[in-house]
Amino acid sequence: MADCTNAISSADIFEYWAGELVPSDEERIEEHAFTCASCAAALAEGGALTSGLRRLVRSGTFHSLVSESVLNRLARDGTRIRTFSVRPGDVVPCAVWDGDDVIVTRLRGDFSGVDTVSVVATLGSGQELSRSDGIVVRPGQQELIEATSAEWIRQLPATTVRFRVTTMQEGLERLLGEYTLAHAGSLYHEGPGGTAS
Amino acid sequence: METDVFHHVADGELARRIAAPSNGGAQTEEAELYRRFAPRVRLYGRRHLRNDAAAQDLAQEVLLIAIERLRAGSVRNPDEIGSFILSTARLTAIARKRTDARRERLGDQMAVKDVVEADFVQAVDLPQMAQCLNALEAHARQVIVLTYYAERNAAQIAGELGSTSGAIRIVRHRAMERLRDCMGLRKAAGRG
Repeated sequence: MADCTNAISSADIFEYWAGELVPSDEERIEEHAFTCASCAAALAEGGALTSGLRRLVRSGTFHSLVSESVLNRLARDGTRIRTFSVRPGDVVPCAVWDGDDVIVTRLRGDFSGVDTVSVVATLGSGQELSRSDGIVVRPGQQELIEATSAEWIRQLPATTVRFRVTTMQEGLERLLGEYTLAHAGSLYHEGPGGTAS
Repeated sequence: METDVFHHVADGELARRIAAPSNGGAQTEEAELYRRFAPRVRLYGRRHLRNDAAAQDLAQEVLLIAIERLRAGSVRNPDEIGSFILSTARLTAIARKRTDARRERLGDQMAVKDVVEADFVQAVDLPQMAQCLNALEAHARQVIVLTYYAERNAAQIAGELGSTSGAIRIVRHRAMERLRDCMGLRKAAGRG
């Protein structure tokens, strides 16, 4: 087998799978992978990683703040999304159904004059469910979109989930909004005409 | 194992043995050529055809062509067999894309998503990946989900998240390295 004298860097591998290399660089990497088994294996691992990511997100088994483009893609892929929209101070009843893949919470509010926020989700017991710090807010942005695996929420008992959106100002934490979802637990379709929890 | 027998045999030598087989034929050499190059053609197919089943088909088609050409003695330089296979993959993929585009226009595209998962895909432990993804910082998670799932480029992501392309690329690279390390995958042979 050929020795590898000019190995492909991991930066190139991640850019290759992101489709962000210029054609000449892309061709250079492909030509090298076809003459070097170890770099072909490294390229394959990059492919496995990115392919795994796609499958993971498509299955809804993830948690992240997302944008509309991610939601659009999920919808195109047939992922079943249940959405709740809340305003600061709202207490909104919610539930996860057996067919749901992803639960989306749209946290609406006035984020003007704010550069970054933190979003912390806490259960009624006080246990922290998730924390996202340093989320950049664009001028004019009026909502944050939180996506959570329905499977994870399905495992929760009936409880409240409180979202706190804060920002740091002059070294002090400032509350921008507090939102509460009253989670009724998992609901199952019984068939035509009826449901049970 | 047959693979061990060929361990020190260069790709070019393997191709020459297929082109000029001994009396017993070159079946084992052909199998070894397939073992070496089919995964690479599948990778190429995954990147350019964006469909696992199509990538699998591409690998079979291209390797069949390569072996037939070697048998017929019509590969001019067996030492460049890797380049020959890549060129064949490029031409075959272009033809395939044209056919697929035509089918799509005609509306008879079959839903083949996830029918075939290539071998390298199965190597990833998805529950572990979920944990590793959640261990990343929120911004990094956003960036790699937008890149590898929503297929947005760095400039588009920068627009969505209020950043710059350069900063997005740096965040993405670091996030992917952390994800790879968390998954226990090795580093690329080259520099980071």
